[in-house]
Amino acid sequence: MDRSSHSFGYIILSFPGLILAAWIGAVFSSLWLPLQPDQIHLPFILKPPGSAVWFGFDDLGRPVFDRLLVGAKTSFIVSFSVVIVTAVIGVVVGAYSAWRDGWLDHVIVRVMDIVLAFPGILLAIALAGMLGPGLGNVIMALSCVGWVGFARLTRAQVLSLKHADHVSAALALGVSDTRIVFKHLLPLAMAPIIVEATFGVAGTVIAEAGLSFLGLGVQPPAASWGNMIRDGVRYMLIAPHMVVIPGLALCLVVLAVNLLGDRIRDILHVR
Amino acid sequence: MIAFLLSRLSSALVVAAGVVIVTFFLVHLVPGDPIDMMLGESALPADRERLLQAYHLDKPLPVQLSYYLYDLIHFDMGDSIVARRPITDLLAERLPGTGKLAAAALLIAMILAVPLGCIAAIRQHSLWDRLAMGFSLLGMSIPNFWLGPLFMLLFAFWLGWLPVSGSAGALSIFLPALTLGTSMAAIVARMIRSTLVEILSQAYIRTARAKGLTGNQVLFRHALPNAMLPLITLVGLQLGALLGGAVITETIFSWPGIGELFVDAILKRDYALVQACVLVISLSYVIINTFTDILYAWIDPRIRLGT
Repeated sequence: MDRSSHSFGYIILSFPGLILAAWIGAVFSSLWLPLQPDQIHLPFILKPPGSAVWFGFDDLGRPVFDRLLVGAKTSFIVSFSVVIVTAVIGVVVGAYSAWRDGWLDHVIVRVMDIVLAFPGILLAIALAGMLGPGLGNVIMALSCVGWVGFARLTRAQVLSLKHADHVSAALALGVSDTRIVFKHLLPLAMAPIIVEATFGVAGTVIAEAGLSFLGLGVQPPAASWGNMIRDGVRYMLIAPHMVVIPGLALCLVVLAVNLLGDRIRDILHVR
Repeated sequence: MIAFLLSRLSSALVVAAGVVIVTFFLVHLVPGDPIDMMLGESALPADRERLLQAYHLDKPLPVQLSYYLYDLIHFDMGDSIVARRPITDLLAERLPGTGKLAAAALLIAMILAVPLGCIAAIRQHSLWDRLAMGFSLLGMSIPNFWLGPLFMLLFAFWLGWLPVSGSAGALSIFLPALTLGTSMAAIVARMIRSTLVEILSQAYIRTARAKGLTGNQVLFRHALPNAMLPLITLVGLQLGALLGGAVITETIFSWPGIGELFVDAILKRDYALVQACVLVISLSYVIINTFTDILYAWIDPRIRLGT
């Protein structure tokens, strides 16, 4: 107990903790900073970072710092909504599928196999491309693909637990199916799901930026780290800061979330 | 083995059928009328009519699906409305590009990952281990669409060694392959390390050491061959994942492959071509995965005789 509380302290006062604090600070920065992400300053077009302005200006003379903070908000909104939506859907579908067994389980397993037959981000790109750009469609496209990971994990967990003694005891006492699943199975299956959700946040941050990089995500003038990199690639030779800065922010956040996931996995003793 | 083969192939067929149906429905996700989205508002009624016919969008859904399947069986995917050429021709032109890129990326990934994984496992908890695993974590956290431009900056602009994009010279494959290969190497190195660590703690390794074999003999004759099995599965899965990753990497470097064709088709609203690309990429993935499973079972009798 003492050890684990020490570990949680480590999470807050460490590299991942600081980066995540900065990320969340950036998400709410518009509350206390007068951000002007769309303000065009013609004299400063492509101006590199300097002492007066952090991070310089982009190809339209917009401040990169302000756009970076708005991009943090975009990635935060997308990643957390996608992970929450997919975790809820995946856990319910996976638990129900494993508990009920029978033909429904077979159908659900087949559906999951089919979604997994599209490698990586391919299906999400296709869905986002067909639905059209926009924040809502990005969340929808990524959710259509993301629930499968949670469903498979939960299904495996519930399958391994459903014949445990305490479950048989609950069944014998006449406890309802829903209650058994939510009170006696899912609490025990939670640890790996939490770890999966943490890595899911990192994966979704990359996926959202990837879609925006391809021009299928958040539309200009709205800022996302992905479309900032996309804009920057065209001016890479003369203004490398336009590519380097948003990419660095993206990598730091993803790295921090991955390290946090590793840490949580150790703390919760997940395989 | 025959029973295993049949069951594996039949489940692959079911998945492939599911993939075909999902891609069929993709075009129905387009908000509003797909024909209007493709042609724009100033379209001539005659063009509209022609496209409606070509896509069979005037028919009920089951009829559309049957036309789609019928054409697919005859390797007819229709014409690209942008290129005005049969889609099968376009795909045939682009497939070798993606194949070459995937093979080169796989090669680079192995060259990077095998030594890294081995060193990390042999000298566990040493500085080398930390460096190798640090590289691995970094590689997993850096997305291709940032790594690619960074490599371009480094190799092409600052060092001036390589062409930036396109497929002009033989060297032009190097940067996209390095980009794809690095992210794959990150995952493979980690996997090799954990497999080797487990193997090195086995009794037969202790025996090999006890009878006086050198470190290299133990590694190459006793440890690595046993690490090959999980590696084959992982490489098969990763090769498929490369196809997904290639979509973004090809776009960055304008590499003439299926992925670049796919993204271009989305941006130009060439929906039939989008469907065809999704279908070809995912079916290749299904085929590679099935082949990997069969190969694995062929090598390891425990799999095919077991369940």
